[in-house]
Amino acid sequence: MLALINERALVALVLFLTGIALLWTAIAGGTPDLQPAFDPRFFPRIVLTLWVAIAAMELAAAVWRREPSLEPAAWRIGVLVIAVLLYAVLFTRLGFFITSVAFCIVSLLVLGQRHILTIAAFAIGAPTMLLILFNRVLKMPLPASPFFWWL
Amino acid sequence: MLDMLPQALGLIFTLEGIAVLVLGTMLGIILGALPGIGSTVAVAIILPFTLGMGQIAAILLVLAVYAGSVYGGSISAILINTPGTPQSAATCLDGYPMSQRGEAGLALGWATLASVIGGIVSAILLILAAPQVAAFALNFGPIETFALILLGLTCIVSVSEGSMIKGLLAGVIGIFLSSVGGDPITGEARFTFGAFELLAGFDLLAVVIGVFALSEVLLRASRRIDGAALLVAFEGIVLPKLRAWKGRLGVLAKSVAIGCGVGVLPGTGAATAAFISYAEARRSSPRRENFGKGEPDGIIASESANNAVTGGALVPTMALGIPGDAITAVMLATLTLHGVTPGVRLMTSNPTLIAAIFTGFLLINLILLPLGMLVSRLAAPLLRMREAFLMTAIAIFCVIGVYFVRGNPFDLLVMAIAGVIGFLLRRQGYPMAPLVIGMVLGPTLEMSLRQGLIITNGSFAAFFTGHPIAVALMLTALLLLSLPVYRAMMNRRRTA
Amino acid sequence: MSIRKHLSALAAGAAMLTAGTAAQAFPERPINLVVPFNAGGGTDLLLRAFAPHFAEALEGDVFVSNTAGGAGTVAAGALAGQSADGHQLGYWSITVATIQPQVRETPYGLDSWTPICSVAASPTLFFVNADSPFETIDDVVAAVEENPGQYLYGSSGPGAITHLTMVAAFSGLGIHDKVRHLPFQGSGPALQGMAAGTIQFFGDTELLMASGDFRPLMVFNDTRLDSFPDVPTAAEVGIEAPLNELYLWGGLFAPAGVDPDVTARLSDACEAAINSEGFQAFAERTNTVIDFKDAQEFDAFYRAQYEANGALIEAAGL
Repeated sequence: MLALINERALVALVLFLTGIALLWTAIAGGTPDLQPAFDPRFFPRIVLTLWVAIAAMELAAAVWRREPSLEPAAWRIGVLVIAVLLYAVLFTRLGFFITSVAFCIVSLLVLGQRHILTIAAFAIGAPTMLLILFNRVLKMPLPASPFFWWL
Repeated sequence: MLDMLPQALGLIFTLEGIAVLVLGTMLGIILGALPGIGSTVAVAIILPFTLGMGQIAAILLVLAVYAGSVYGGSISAILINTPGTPQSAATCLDGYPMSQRGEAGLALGWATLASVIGGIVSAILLILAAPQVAAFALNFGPIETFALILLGLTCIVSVSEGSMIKGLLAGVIGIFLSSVGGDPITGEARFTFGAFELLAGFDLLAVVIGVFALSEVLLRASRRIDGAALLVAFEGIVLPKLRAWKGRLGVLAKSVAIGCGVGVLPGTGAATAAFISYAEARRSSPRRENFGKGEPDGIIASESANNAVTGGALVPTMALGIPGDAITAVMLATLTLHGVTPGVRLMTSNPTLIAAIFTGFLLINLILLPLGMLVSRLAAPLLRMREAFLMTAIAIFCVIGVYFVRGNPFDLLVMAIAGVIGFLLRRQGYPMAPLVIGMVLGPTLEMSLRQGLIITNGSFAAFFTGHPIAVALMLTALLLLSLPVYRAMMNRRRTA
Repeated sequence: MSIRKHLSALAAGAAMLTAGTAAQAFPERPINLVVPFNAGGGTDLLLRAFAPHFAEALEGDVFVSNTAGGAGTVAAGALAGQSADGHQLGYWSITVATIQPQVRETPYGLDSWTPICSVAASPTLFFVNADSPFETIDDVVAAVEENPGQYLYGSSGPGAITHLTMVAAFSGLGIHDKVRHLPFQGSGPALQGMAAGTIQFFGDTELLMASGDFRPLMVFNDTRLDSFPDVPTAAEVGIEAPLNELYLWGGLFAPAGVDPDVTARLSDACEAAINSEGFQAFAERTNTVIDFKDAQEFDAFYRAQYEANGALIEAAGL
């Protein structure tokens, strides 16, 4: 059994189960006797049925072929994913400048840069330039932080 | 139209007019080339600056930025595999493999020439036949549109040759994503699970930038990074030799025609045109075996089509006052702001102005070539930046670009999650182009299907009676779908 | 914005910390006008033309930002929870402020706002194709009565002002159940549907109607329009209140609970900006119908509209 679980099959399984769950909500929630044109779930039901069917085929193919699994992604990708998610969520809350400086530092470290001065120069220089470009030149203000409204 | 030309040229060739054309086109190319920042944002950035300008200058500026940004998107698509907009997503498919082969300059050369030719032909169409073409577009009701979109969807099949099941699955997921949010007919919430943010649906651009640009950053980070190696060897545009065009003119002509046609029709846009044209070239080009591995025909198909859309989309905008997409809607607003009401009366009431706008558009496409070469020469040193810095900068641009499209914090989260999911799927060999096609065409597919059903009082059969254009389109779709199957069967027989 | 302005704003902020009430120091930082639609739309342009004059009247900085999605409800939902210090204002239309919160779950409602001032209001018109056989509303009623269920009217989307115009017209004429509704994605595609003959009736403002060859049959205004002296008002053809008047209006709103002094200050600045030469010229160029109401008037108007549109929504079956 364990041999069947490779990364490809896992991705296919997740897609298949997501499709099933969504299809179930599309079938369970609707009022039955609506005309297709006025039934909000009419179109999604067709699409989700296709989704489930194709995902099942992919799942079968993945288990059947049993490809050699890829080398697992390095730890640094996990850190980068979290950094990107936090950057996106905090961008509008803490403002452009603070989040961008923090993201630059994390991203550059994760991507193997070790020269502290270069990292600092880029992490502060790039956001400053963008801030001047958008806020002053183009007059399209980037989100400001709640602490210092001018940043 | 042509007899207005002298006066029109007089309006354009002022100091302000020329400055606006050159600077606007240049700015458009630069903004379009920045990963994550596409035409919509570029045009929105420039709009406030036009408030204080004269009528002609303002309109030319917006046009220049629009045409420039559509072309500029191909630069980042080819060099770093991160299209800033859905319309240059198809350009990645063959442009980036060419770059990896060390032919980045040549790939951009093909893209530039194809863009210029596509733009010029569509401009000529605009000048010669806008009212007639616009009148023809009126024949496209919901049922014809539905058939056209079905035809467009068949390009998922040809784009995913080689990994058919994964491609189809990605396409279906794309269509589903586009149906999340308020139902277009009843307004009822779908698949929002009580989350107010989801009511507005997933923003196309947020998803596209996530699955193409951001996931590219993650993919690169997951591989071993060689600190010293260059991302891509690029010194500037290399124009293809004249004899290299031999045998490619057919692809070019067909792609330009597709671009103009799709641009004129309602409910579609540059991304649709680029994908349909790419799929058609992949089906019929004599070099179809090389597609996806860096075949210039693929670049020609996608780039000439998406630039041909710019002129095509202006046809209904100018002649009917009906915008074809979000960008021409901004154009429409600019015109209104400067006291011009586009629409059926514009062509007759203010022909000089129209001639000036159309001629200006032609000139913009002519100066795309030198300006494109200049901008990519200037951009070349940037590509010598170490990969870590370049990738970090791309991630920042993705966030900024998505933020400026709608200013909606939720879109940023959508982009980040799309980036992570796109990364996981691309690792397993799922193509992302079908997902984008599905998301682009999904809303129009559903809307036109259900509108059609309202018109016919719920009868599917009535789609086929009295709609000859629709029937022809659906038959073509069926033919295109069965072709790969037929080809596969022939191959099997041959090997067996 | 210059460095000097920054410094003066900083100084003003510091002064506020040490001394007294909000109104004296207002505005203590740049004012944000939120457009609930994409940059480049009609509303966006209106606000961008308005902002500089508003800034001048307030003697401060004003910047415009866009938050699009959900027919404007995303922006309104985000602003509703913000602090009511008067530095963040949204420009809501009739749909965003009074219709959407009654047809779907929105995180805001009638009492989420401090109305500041109304800026623009255009009456909607009921129109048909110029080559259509319908010359008057009576022709329409007769044709619909003769062939119930055959005619289609369009809208730019469910719950949009264009939809309510049609509902008001047909409910007011008593034939709402004899026509069918075909929604489009926006006014543009709907107008194309008109030109192509897919739909027979549509209702929008004069500005939109001017882009095609259309014939107005009635106007949802209290008097006839100067530009169409022969087109009757809805009341004249027998549509009774509250269905006989429908305006696409829009105005500035702040989150509920703004200090009355600050509200008055903003409302005065709004009036000054609207009366400025620059904004008047803009309105003339774009055929914007200016309609200023101060904070108090606008508050009463907004609440009355909320009620009246509730009735329309019920008739539309939303």
